[in-house]
Amino acid sequence: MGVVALTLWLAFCVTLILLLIGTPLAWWLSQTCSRAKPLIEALCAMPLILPPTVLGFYLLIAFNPQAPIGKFWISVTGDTLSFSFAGLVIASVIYSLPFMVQPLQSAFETVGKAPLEAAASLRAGRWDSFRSVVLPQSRRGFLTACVLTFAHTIGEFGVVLMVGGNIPGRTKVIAIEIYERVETLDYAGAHHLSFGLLLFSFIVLLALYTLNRKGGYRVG
Amino acid sequence: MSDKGLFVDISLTRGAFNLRVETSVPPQGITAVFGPSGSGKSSFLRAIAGFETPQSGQIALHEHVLFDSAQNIDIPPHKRGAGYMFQDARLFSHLDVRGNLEFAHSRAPTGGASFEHIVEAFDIGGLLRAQVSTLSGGERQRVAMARTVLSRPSILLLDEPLAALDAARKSELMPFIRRLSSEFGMSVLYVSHDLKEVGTLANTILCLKEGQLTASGPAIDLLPQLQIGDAMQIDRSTWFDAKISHCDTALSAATLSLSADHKLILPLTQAMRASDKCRVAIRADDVSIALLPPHGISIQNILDARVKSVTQDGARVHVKLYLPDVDTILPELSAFITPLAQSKLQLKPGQSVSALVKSVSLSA
Repeated sequence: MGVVALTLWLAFCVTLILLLIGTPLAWWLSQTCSRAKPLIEALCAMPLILPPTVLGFYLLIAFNPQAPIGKFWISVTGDTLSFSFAGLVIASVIYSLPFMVQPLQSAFETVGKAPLEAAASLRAGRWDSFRSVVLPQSRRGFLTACVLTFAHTIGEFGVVLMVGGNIPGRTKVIAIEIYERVETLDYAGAHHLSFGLLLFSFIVLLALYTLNRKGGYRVG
Repeated sequence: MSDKGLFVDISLTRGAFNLRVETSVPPQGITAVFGPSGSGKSSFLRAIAGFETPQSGQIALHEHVLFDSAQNIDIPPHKRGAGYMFQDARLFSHLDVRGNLEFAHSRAPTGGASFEHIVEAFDIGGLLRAQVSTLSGGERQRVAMARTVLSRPSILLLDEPLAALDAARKSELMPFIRRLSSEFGMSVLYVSHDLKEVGTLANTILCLKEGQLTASGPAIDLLPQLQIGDAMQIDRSTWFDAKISHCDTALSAATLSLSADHKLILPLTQAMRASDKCRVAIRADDVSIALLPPHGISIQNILDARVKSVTQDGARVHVKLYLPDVDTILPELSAFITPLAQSKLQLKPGQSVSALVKSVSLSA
């Protein structure tokens, strides 16, 4: 698999997994009065401020075949977590978690309790209310969360370098390829990829802001 | 077993506030929960809907236990069959009007009035395709009311549904609220701090003050007491129920027949229909007294009456009148006159007079 395809595939897998994990987590955070809430919120936000190398370092240790997680993975799949695509996905899921959870949590909090009470009084159960009221009313939040997660995964460098290494076709992503081109003084190649990423990021954000503005009159 | 309507005996504490109510609500008609803000009216309603959990007690609706702390029963809100109408309507912003109505309709048990009938009853047929953000305040509440009725609840809980509207919109909407009970046969619990609303709508009144039930009973009996409560305007209104006998759209007048000889004419409002029952309020300030029937006068409502009593009431003279042949509907009618007028007219009990009613306020 080429560098670009691998990067896109990674970002897609991470976004999908985070959508599945992040939605219930963000929902719980938006509804709970639990005393554990600030603790979980702080843990979820850690990747925002932690240097990627720190996170990558601990993940590298955890993925080690002698460590419990690494050992478990080998016993289940027969493959190691470190220097593998699976390891890259897990690391990216952790690293991009706040980019999914925070927009979703804020979207759910914006919906608030009022429409849920209205739905309950009209005989809609919890899951029904979530599906038919909360989801459609947080469309913008989902769009923002998915786009940010996808784009952020594409742009990551430090964590990938620490846990994924640099194996062509398995773990080599665009950001690392650029670094390598610069190291080998292949500036033309670095330009090529860098400009591609620059353009991609800009187009994604432009599309996001345009869509959000258009959606405004119905959702807001 | 006979239907006992709604039975509530709860104790609910939120911070320093304590709501302690034991009461039952008849299975039919409109019951107003009346009291100043902060008296626990909304908490009372929210506890019935299941949005608040009381510390202890019982709630039962039509013999079904909704909440019983002793038996650990707490039916979730969506299974209680209690329709709730909020002050802010709470229409779903991601759906249009039809979508909002169908949300309720598709989850409701079958039976009862049809979708089309309910849409027509609340006069929202022309709004079905509208986005909810484009609706006016009155339209919102009508759509919300129709939506609540479409979910076919076994009780309707209305939490100050008119509080956010101006006086004109309020009187426009009151007939629709009355219809909830008269046309759809629903038991309605109506929270309000507005005596005028309560007076025009309620069959039964529960008075709450600082979380305690201070009075309850038929509206006609309780209204005079409530009016002279210190916080209320002392206008000595006369309240009574009557039926609209005729609506004249050309002259924009509705006629209420009190008896073969006595009728009252009122300004017609859009939602009034012949044979609707309505509650009428006549303020004592709006009643003048003449010794002989006057002619060539703009006041249309002139009733033959007799003086029942004459008493000094502050700086005014309070004259109680009665209409000899309509005392079942309207036992007495209060009028305020000035002491100067009394010194000239020399009104005495038993005397025949004409009562000139300048304005009649009502809700069909």
